[in-house]
Amino acid sequence: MQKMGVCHRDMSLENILVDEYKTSVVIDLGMCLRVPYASEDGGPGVGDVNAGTLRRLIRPLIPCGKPNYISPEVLRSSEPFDGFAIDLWASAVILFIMLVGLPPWEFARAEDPRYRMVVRGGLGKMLQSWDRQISPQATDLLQRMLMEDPRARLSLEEVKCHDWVLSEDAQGAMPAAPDEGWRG
Amino acid sequence: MDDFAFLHNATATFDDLLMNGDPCAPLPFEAARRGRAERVDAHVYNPVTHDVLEVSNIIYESHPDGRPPDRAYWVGRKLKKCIFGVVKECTVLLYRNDANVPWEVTPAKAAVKIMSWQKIRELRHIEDPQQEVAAMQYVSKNGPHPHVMGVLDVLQDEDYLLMFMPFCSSGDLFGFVQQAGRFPEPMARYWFRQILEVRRHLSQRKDH
Repeated sequence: MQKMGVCHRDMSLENILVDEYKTSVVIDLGMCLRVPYASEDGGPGVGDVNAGTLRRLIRPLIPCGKPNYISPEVLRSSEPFDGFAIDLWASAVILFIMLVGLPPWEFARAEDPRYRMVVRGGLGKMLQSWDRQISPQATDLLQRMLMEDPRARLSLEEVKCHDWVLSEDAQGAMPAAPDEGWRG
Repeated sequence: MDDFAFLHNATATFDDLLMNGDPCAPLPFEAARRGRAERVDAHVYNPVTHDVLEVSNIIYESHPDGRPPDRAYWVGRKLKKCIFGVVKECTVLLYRNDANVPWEVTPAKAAVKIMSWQKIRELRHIEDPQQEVAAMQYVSKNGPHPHVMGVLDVLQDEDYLLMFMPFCSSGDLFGFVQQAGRFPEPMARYWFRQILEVRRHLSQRKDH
């Protein structure tokens, strides 16, 4: 069985197609990276996912992806990043837009007052001022995924175990939409 | 060991990774594998209506050893533009052992991204389509995943690079959000769980 160890780097609502109104399919793998792992022998070398070890941080690269979804550390382009965490950041922005109907900011950087407000813990307050409230649990999840410092964010496992995600009330039925696949 | 490594990677903190060695460059993908595209006009049999149609713009992989192709694509209407060309809808055709009517229609649909080599060379975009092909082939190695787009065939000729993919019938999620304004929480939860499943799948392997 082939292991993956890949980060997508360009997750967005536009890059998620829907099949028969019920299955989402992530497309546009042109920015994918194969994530480096610690070497199997514990030495300084680099392994891949098959080493069965912990992944390593990636050296800064030229920022890419759609503006709304780029994480602050990728945008700064001056510090190492965790390949998996940047997809999780983009997933949080996707969830924000699904729940609120608007993107949280244009770019995740300090010059953007909305970004400043959210990363200082003001996500709920911002939504209140937009008159677009969401449930306290959804607010808690988004706030804890959208922290500026990658150290302060929830891990994938923590997101999967969050009360909001675990709630049994999940409903896939879609409002009617035009039947035109691959719309750009 | 595998289960342990998976769990370890799913719960690791940024500092765990920082302690795990100096940050390094991402690893390269294996080079993309591309077959030779053959484009023909041919007769196609429809097993439902028993009609024989004269069809143009059928594309399949031409094998150097002369063996017949497994399947072909009847390229149809344009779905959208992309950076290096267009995406078109296709009907999947099956090969049948009949020189006069060599193809048969199936209910399967596909989408093909048709990218011009000239544009690929001219634009030198940050998004290299050959890199995309390599990544799609890499993540498709265990067969298709329900929530990650895989690739059915990658073909080329002098003018074009052709990526054949499964067809998705209902547009993109952005369109649904636009139409709804915003999603009720149970609906957002439904889609968000599928997105988390993608992140989990790309982390490790298919059978988890």
